[in-house]
Amino acid sequence: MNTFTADLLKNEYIQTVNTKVITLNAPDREKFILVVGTSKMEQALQEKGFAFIHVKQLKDVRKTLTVFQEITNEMPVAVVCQYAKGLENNLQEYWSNGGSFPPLAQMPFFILADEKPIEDVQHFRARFRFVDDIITPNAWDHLEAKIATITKFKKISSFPAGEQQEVAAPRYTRHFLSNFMKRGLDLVVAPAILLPLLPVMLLIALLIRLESKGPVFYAATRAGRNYKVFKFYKFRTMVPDADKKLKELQHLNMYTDKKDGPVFFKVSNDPRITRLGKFLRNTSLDELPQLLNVIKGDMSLVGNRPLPLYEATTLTTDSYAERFLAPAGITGLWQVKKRGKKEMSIEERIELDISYAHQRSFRYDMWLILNTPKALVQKDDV
Amino acid sequence: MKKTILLVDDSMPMLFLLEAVLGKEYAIVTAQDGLVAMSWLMNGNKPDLIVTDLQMPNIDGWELLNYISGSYLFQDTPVLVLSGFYKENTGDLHLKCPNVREVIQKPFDPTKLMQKIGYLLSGTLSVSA
Repeated sequence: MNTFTADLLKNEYIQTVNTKVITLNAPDREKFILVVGTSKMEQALQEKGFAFIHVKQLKDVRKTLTVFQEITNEMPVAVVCQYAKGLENNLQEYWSNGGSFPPLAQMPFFILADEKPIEDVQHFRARFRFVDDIITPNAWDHLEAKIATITKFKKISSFPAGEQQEVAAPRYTRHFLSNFMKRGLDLVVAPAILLPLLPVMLLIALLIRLESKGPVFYAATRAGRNYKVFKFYKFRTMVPDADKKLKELQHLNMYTDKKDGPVFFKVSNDPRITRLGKFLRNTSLDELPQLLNVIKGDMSLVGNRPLPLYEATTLTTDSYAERFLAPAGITGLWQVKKRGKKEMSIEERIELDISYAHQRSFRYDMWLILNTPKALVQKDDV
Repeated sequence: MKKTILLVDDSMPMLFLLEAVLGKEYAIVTAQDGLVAMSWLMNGNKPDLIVTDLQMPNIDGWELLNYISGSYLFQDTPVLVLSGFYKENTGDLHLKCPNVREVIQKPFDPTKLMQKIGYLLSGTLSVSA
């Protein structure tokens, strides 16, 4: 220390405030810690590269700091107070007398509790708000980082609200009325389409059974709103066990250019599709059973693509997560905009989902429903 | 009584998603950065688990971990880090902060996240893959 010596402090003040002042050859001399009470923490602090000032009692803190500042024009980076019986009373006194001393308010204040932790720590913290933390003897490794964090916290907290870094404004609000009307529409429209079409559906079911053995419906696991996993129903359009044959077809995948990021699978003219299946797909009749999902509440008439889980798990990132805030839908922005076009990229599809999740409203849903029919007739067998 | 999870993430959609996924089984408190999270913790609140992102404004996840480390109050509070950083950059987090029990990378599987959280809160040691 060039600007002051331990002797100077000793000579001038030790008699008056009865403090022991020790300076050490710390590598970073800026970092002084004010140690309160009798303990063995000096050695630990020394090992961690801190210098320290030692006072015996809390009531000496303010006086000592005033003196220290006068001489060195510096302040310790933190106060560490050894816990001892009866400390509660002293803390009360300390804060009511010396708490208003401005540098103290900005300085992290720790209580070091050895083997005997304070019994009701939470109550203790609530009573003494100026105590920033109660630390364990194992905390030395973390002390420097803790001091930095709490100092920063105190500094930012004292900023006027406008000067803090702004956190992202909520892009999403819960539109209760819109959601209510949406669900109402689902519950009216889905049965209204389903009931008159029951004979047609029975016929389709019969034809599927006649063409190939296997179940009538295909139930896939999909993720919808809030990543709710549900069984997604379709008429079966592929040969049975089509999922198992997926691996054999990986080389035909249209989306193979990307190694990282979202995974998608789609092939043109998939050989697993049956002849009837092709017809059902072209007419979108295979999607009729989804109306059951709508009635069950897994999906909505309008929404985002119901994603298979292998795709869905790749989209739980900060930038994509918003898509899961909208329900899965039978139709949606992705249908209306570019259905079946080969050139639609993975990113475009995701963007459309996010865009829908962001803009969705009852009116927007109506617009999408009105624009769906012309998008329904597909040009490519996708 | 439901166990309480403190969720810290600066992405609002992510917070909403996590809240929806975890909210069925747990009481959720959300904070959009470490500053809000720290204020809440400093007010004497104690969650049963903290799920935090790393990169955030004002006070970030690493700083939040600094605050939790070596504190009596949070001695037995497990932390699950959920961040977009690669494992290589977060591998030493549990050394820096002993509370870190699990590091999960985004994108993540919400079903698996639920499982891990279940393990952490039931006190069963989870096997990290």
